[in-house]
Amino acid sequence: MKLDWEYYWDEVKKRKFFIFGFFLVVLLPTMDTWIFLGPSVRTAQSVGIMPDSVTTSIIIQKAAILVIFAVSWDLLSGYSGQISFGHALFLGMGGYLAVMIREGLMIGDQEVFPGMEEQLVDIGGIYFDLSVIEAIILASALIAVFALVTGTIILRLKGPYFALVTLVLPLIAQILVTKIWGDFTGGDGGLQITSQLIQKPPGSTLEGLDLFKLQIEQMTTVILTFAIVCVAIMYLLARSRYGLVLKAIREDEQAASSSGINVSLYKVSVFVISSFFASVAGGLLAQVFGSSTSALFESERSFEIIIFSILGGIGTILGAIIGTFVLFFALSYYIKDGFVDLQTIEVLIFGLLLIIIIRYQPRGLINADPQLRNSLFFGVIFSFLMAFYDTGNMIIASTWNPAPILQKYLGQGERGFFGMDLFKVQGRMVLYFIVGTVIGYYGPELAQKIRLRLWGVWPSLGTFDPPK
Amino acid sequence: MSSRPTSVWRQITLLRVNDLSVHYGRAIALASVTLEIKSGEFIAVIGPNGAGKSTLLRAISGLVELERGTITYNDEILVETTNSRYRKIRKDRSLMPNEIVQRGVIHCPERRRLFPKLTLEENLMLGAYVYKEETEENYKRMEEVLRLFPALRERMHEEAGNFSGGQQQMIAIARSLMGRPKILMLDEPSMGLAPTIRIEIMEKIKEISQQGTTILLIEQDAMLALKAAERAYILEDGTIDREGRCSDLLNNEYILETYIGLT
Repeated sequence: MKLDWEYYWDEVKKRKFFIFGFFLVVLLPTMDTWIFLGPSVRTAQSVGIMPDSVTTSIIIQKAAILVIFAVSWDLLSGYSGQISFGHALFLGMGGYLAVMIREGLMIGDQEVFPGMEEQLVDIGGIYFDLSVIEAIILASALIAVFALVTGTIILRLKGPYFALVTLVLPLIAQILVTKIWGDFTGGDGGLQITSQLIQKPPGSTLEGLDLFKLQIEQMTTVILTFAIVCVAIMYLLARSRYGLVLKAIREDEQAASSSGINVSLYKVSVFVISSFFASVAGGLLAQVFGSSTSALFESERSFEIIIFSILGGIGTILGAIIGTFVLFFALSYYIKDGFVDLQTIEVLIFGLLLIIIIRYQPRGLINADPQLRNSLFFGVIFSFLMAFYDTGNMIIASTWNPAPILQKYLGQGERGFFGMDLFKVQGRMVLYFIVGTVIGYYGPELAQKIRLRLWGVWPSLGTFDPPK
Repeated sequence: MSSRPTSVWRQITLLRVNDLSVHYGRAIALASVTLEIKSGEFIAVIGPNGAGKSTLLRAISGLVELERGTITYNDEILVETTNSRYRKIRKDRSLMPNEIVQRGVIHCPERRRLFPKLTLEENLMLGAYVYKEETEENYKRMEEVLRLFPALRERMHEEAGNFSGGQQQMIAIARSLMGRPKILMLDEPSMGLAPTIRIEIMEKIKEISQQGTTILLIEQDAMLALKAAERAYILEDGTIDREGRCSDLLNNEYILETYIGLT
């Protein structure tokens, strides 16, 4: 996929987007501190038409971790063709083992091994505990050794048999962790993290919420750095000769073998590499959650990334990155962590998306035809944009995001009209309508009509078609 | 024929298959097959469906387990099973399939078996996988191989699955040639192809043979194979029924009747 900023700008110019009378806001975690946008963003956050920056940061953290996880799955299943339905095994193991190594292991009153020493370092103003990162990498290395042993055994199985075994393994691990090894894995409650990755800088006067916000932002930086390094390594591997051999194994094992490729060696090695990075993702996810629980092993974790990767395009690292980041971000932002508690319909949305994609674009969005790909891509990008105007006693907001209205109605168990709403929050009137970005992008004529109906109020973003 | 190296070099036995038996469960695929290939020869193995022709090649490339027998290449053991009872525990002195390819014994498998989603160039480079260190040498080799198949040169970046059947067969042969074969083992290269393309492919194989590569060809189309090769083995029900020079076999009444359909 061609990613070029000039090309984006062409798309924007071609669509003749207008910004008229409103503030245009791109959602970023730190935007409430921006000088120009700060006041209006804070107003929007206070009346609940935008999630606050902490929520956004946490969504970005989770998305970045899932990108590592999805790319590691794509390297194993998309490239070498060994479809794994239980990659969460390594996610969970990484989470538990990293916490155990850092915090030490106690069985009853007996200490099996002590935890690691605290090593506080300051890199670029981020004051963090290096031992946590060392523990994550050490745990991942141990899990890679474990994967070497299990891989040599289970990779003898082919196709559906391998998939079935991988499906079962995390379920076994979940039972072991919650029921049988409860003494040192903490049972259902999981292992709590007592030593935070991000520490309070010495001499800092920040307290309470401000300190929390600072730590969340620094955590985002650390996790994004991790994600960039891990994904870059896997991307280079996939683009190298190694990736080509993996693809050959996926296409035809026997032909690969008669070309002189040691098929089992490559399959085991990619299993080990993939498990290493999945464990890194697990260790980081435990840090974000604040504990390692058996939820890390859940099959939902495995299926989530499979769906994201298929949507993005399987067997292309870029597809897994874009699919995971964009979709997880969009879904979480609008549904899961943003405002509305719609976790129950999340699976429904995933399922529908998957059916549509497999029916119409089986090779994923990254391999879709350029027109469709662009319109979906820009649709998602523009859906993050919102515009609002604060008149003093009324906030006029226009966005594609239906979350506030959904929340208002579904939260009270009523059914509402989804297009437009007027409601009162904290003594302030909010006029909210879902026109603008996406409708403006896909249906310029419709957007223009709505705009005329609203007595000259412009939709946040839309195409301006000069009258013929 | 005259351009081919002769004399002493022709006397060296390159590949020797001795008392080879392969069983698939209870079914006996090969029973005590013995054959010899001298360097530079063009050998054809013909026989009906299910005679064990493909199994023979798969055994030589180490892809199936032997019940009994040894296969040696240049007096080095490629595959052997001395004691069938312990063969699962003790691998004996057998080489791995990839090590056999490294020796220059290259198998061009049945039904072409390209990597359909990879480009033609990637397919060819994977054929030279065992020479991973020498990228430049590999590109030189690719030029040499493409001289034999000039039609492929213009479509180097197309997916291999998009080519026609005849071209796919040529790609499969070209991919095998990328591995610098000492012995090239071709498994039914004419399968499912039109008669003119069969002849074209057989011409290419003859050309490869004339360049000095030893060839072991497996073919159902007996007429085609016997006309191209020098010596042939007739395989029937897992045993070698008869062998001889192709010119002699073409005059044999039994062969004409059974395999060529002339009465």
